[in-house]
Amino acid sequence: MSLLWLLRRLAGLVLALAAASAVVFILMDLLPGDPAEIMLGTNARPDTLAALRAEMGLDRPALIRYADWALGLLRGDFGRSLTYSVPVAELVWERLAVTLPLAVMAIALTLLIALPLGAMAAARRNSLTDSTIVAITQLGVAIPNFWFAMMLVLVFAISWRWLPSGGFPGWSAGPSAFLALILPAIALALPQAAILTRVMRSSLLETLGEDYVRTARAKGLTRSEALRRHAFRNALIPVLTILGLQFSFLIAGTVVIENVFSLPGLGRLVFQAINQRDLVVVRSVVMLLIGSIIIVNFCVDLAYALVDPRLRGRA
Amino acid sequence: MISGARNNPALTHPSLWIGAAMTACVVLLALIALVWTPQDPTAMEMAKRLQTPSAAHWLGTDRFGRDVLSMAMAGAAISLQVSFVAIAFGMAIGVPLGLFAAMRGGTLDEAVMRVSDFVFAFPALLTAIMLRELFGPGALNAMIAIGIFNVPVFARVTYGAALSIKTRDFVTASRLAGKSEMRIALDHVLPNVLPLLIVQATIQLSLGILAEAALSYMGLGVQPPAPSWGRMLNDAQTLMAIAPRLALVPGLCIVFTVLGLNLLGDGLRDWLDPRLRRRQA
Amino acid sequence: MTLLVLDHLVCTLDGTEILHGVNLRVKQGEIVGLVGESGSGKSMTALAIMQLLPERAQLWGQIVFDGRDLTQTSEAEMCAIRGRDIGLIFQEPMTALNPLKTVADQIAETFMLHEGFAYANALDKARAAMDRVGLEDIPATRYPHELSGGQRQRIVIAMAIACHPKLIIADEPTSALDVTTQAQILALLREITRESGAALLLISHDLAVVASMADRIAVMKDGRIVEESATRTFFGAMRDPYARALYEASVHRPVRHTDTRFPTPFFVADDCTRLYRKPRLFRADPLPVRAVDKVSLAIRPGESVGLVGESGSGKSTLARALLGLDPLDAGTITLDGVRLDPTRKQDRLLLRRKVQMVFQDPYSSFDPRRTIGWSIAEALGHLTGPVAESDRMQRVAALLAQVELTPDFAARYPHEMSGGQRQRAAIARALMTDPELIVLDEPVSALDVSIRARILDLLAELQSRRAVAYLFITHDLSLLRAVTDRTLVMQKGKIVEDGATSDLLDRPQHAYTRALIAASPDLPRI
Repeated sequence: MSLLWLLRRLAGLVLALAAASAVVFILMDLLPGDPAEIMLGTNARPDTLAALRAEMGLDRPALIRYADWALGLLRGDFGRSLTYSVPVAELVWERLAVTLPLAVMAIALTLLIALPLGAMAAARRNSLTDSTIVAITQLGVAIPNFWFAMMLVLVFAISWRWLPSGGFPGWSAGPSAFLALILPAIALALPQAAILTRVMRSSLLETLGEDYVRTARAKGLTRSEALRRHAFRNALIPVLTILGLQFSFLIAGTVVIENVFSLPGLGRLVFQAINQRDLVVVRSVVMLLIGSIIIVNFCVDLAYALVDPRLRGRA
Repeated sequence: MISGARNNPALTHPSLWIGAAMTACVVLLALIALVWTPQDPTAMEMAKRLQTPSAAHWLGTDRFGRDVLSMAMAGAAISLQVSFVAIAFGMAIGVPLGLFAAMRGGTLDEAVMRVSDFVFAFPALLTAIMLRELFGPGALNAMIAIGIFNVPVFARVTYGAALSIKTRDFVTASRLAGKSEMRIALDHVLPNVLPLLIVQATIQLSLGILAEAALSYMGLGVQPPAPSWGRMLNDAQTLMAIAPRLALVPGLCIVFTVLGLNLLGDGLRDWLDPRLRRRQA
Repeated sequence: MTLLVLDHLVCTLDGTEILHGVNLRVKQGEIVGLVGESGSGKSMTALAIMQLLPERAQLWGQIVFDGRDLTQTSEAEMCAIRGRDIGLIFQEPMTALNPLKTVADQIAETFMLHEGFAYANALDKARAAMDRVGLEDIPATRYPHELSGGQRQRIVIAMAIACHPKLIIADEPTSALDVTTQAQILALLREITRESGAALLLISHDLAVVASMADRIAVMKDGRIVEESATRTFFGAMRDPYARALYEASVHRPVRHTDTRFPTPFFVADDCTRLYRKPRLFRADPLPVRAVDKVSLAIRPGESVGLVGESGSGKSTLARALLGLDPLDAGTITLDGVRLDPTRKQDRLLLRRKVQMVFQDPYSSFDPRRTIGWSIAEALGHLTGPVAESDRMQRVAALLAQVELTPDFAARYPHEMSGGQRQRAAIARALMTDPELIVLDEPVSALDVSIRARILDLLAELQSRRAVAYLFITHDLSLLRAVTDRTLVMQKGKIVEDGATSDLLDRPQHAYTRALIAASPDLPRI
C-alpha cells in the first residue's frame, strides 16, 4: 500500500470529519434559533437566560463558537453538561464502558452467525438447509430490533427468568454485568446477522460460479477445498462493504436498544439529554457517533486494500 | 417474453405474488383506515382499559381503553405515509443526481458521489435527533430524516446502473443519431435503470417502515395522540408482564408489512433481472 | 495407443439434450482439433471429460481415459485425476486465475495437491514451471492483475502441464488474445505437447487455428461430430455439407466492384491526436498516453478502407475521434472540403449526417426496451428536419428491405432477433441519413462464420448500390483481403503502413505488418 495512497485517504477522512462537525453545528446550533432559550424553555427568567448565554458563549460570532467547539472535541473537551453539571467527556467515558462492549459483542455475534450460515447455505444451494436458512433470514430482516428485544425480555426475563430484563449493575458486579448485556447484544445482532447471512450467501454463490473456481476444480481440488481456498476470501469483499454500511445501523440500533433495556450507555445518555433539552450533551454525543461511523468506514476502506491486492498497487 | 404462460411471473416467482398479496393487504387496510376504523383510535375510555379481545374490541384495548385494532389500522396508514413520502423524497433528489453525475462524468461526478458517501454516515435516527429542534418532533421530522438517508441510496443505485448503461453501444448509436446527452438520459438511460429503481424502492420502503417505527418508539416521530406502531410498542413496554398482547399486535404488523415488501422486492428483482431473463430467452 | 475414447456420449442440461451421442478418439501424443460454432456442444464435451458438468446436467455413455471409464469413477478419484493426468486450459485468461493469490501460489497448489510437496518446495517447482512457459522475467510474487492476457494464459498453461498430464484439453485457449499473442501461445502449446508426449484436445471455433495445429480435425454441430479426418486429408475429403459450408464461409470472399469514379477524397483527417489520461482521483495523470498520434487519412467516395491493428493500438479510439464522439487533442477533420470542429454542435450534426457507424456487438447496439423500428428511426428529427409518423414508418420499412429484413421486424424487440438479424438492423440504422461513410467496427467478429459470410455479402452489395465508403476496423487479415481496397496498419497510436490491400498483404514493408501476417493462421486453399 503506497504511502501517497494512505495520505490521500487520511486527508479524505479529515475532510469528512470536518464536514460532519460543521453539519452537526449548523443543524443544532445555528438554525433552530437560541439554544439557551431551547434549553430553559420560553418562560425562563431573563437573567438566567442571559447567564446561560454567557456561559455557553452565545454572545460570540457563530464561526468562533464553531471553532471553539470543534477544537475542543479534538482536545477531548466536549463541553459541560447543564443537567449533570459535569464535563460531557466524563459522562461519555463512563457510558462508553457499556456501549463499546455491547457494540463489540453485537458485531462478533453477527459475524459468528452470518459467515458460517451464509457459507453453509451457499455450499448446499437449493437443499433443505439452504431454503431453511433463506426463510429464517427473510424473517430476521423483517423484525425490528427493539421489538425483538421486547420479545426476548418477555420470554427470557419475564416468563423464564433466566436473564435480567434490563438495567446494568456495573462492571464491578462481575459476571452479572456480562449477563445484562446478553439479551441486548442478541437483539442488536439478529437483524444484522440476517442481512449479512444473505449477503454472504449470494456473494459466495457468485464467486462459486467464477472461472477461477472452475480452474481450481480442474487442478484437482474438491468442491469444498475450492470453496475454502478460492471462493471464500473473494466472497468476503462484498461482505466487508455491507459490514461497513451496517455499522451505522448498529449505532442507531444501540441508541434504541439501550433504551429498551435501560442500559446506561451513550444511547441512553443522548436520549435522556434530548428530553432534558441538554443540547451540549446531545450535540457532542451525536458528533461522536457520526464520527465513529466515518472512522469505521475509513477502516473498512483500508481493510479492502489488505484483502484485495488489486487495490494495493505496487509502490 | 414477459407475456405468455411460461413466463407468467406468478408461476415462476412465488415470492413475487406472495409479497404483492401481503403488501396489498396492508395498503388496503391503511386506505380503509383513512376513512373508517372500527372505533376512534384516539378515543380514551378509562373504564374499558386493558380489556382482552371481545366482539366489541377484536384485539382488546390498551391502558387508556383505546381500541387496539383501530390503532393498528391507523398506524398502518401513518407508517406507510411516512415511508412513502420519505422514499419519494429520496428518489426525487437521488435519481436526478445520480443520473446527472453518470452522464456528465469528470470532477462533478466524483464530487456528487463523495457527498453521497458522506451522507451515508448519518443514520435516520441521528438525523432525526439533530432535526428535532428545527422541525419539532413529528411525522415531518421522521419523513425528512428517513428521506435524507435515502438520497444517497438512490443516487448510488442510479449512478452505478447509468454508468453501465452508458457504455453500451446503443447509447453511442443514439449520440450518432444527433441526440443530446439530456435526451439520451431520458430516452435510454432512465428507462433501463427504472426496473432497478423499482426494486430498490420496495426495499427502501421496508427499511423506511422499520426506521419510522424506531423513531416513533423513541418519541422522535409521530406524536401522541396520533397512533403509530412504534408509539404503541413504547406504551406496551411497561405492561409487558401483564398485557404482552399489546406488544405483539404492532410488532407483528411491522413484521408482516416489512416481510411483504421484502418478498415483493426479491420477486421483482428475480423477475426483472436481465441475467435471468437472458437465460429464459 | 488410444488414450481417450468418447463412446456415444449423451448429455442433457435441464432435461434438454445438448450432446446427441458424441464419438471421439484421441491417441497418445496426438493433437486433435474439435471445431464448431457457439452452442455446438464443444465446451460441454470438455467439461464432461473432466466430470465438471454443472449440477443441472446428466450424462450417458462412456468416457474411457487411460483404460478406465470416467463416468463410473468416484469424485475422490476424479480429483486425483484432474490436474495430474488431465490438464485443462480455459478461454478467458483474465478471469481464470484467483485475483487474491499470487500466480506462483496458484501453480504451487497443483504440486502440493498431486505430488505431496511442502509449500516451499512447491514454490520452487512453480518457479521452474513459470520459466518453462516463458515467464522467466516475471517475479513469482506477482498477482494476476499485474500480468497481461498472454502472460496469464501462460500461467494457466503452466498449471495444466505442471504434473505432466497425459492429456491436455484446451478450450478456445487463444480466442481472447491478439493475433501475435495467439501465435506465441499456440507455438508454446505445440512445443510442450510434442516435448512431453502429452495428447492435446484443442477446442476452437476457428478452423484456421485448428488446421495449423492439429493432426486430426473433428467438426461438431448441434451436439454431434459431423466430420472427422486427418488434417492432411481433411480439406480435400470433406463429405459433410455442414463442414464444407463452414470451410467455405471461412474463406468466403464477397463479390466486390471497386468504385474508381471519384478520385478525390471527401473525408480527410489531418494530424489527429488523441491523448489518454489514466483516470485518477482528483487529478490527471501527469504523463498522458498518445492513444492516437498524429494520424492522417483520406477516404474517397465508394472506397473500402481497412484499419488493422491489435487491441490497444488505438484503432477504436481513432474511430471515435473521427466520428466526433470524443474530442481531438490536435488535428483537423475536413468533410467535402469544409473543415469541421466537432466540439461545435452544428458541425457535429453535419458530421453525423455523413458519417455513421456499425458496432461489433449486435447484442449491445440496440436498446432492449425499444423496438427495432424506433431505434432505426432515431436520427429522424435530430439529424433531419421534422418527419411525419407515416413517413417515418415508410422509411424504416424501406431500409429494412434494403438489408433483406421484412417490414414486421420494425415492431420487434432486440431479444426477439438473432445476432445476424440485429446486425442487419444495425446496418439499416446506419443508412438512415444516407451517409457517405460508414465506420464498421469489427462488424462480423461476434457472429458465427456462416452468418458472417452473408453479412459481408450484404455490405458489398450495399456499397456497389449506394457508393458509400467503408472504414473497416478489424484484426482479421483474411477479412481485410476479402473486403477492402486499401489498408492502414496501426500500431501504438500511429499508422505504420498504408497501401493497397493486396500489395500490403503480399509485400509488407513494415516489421509490424510482417509480424501480424506471420502470426495470422490461414486456411489451405483447395
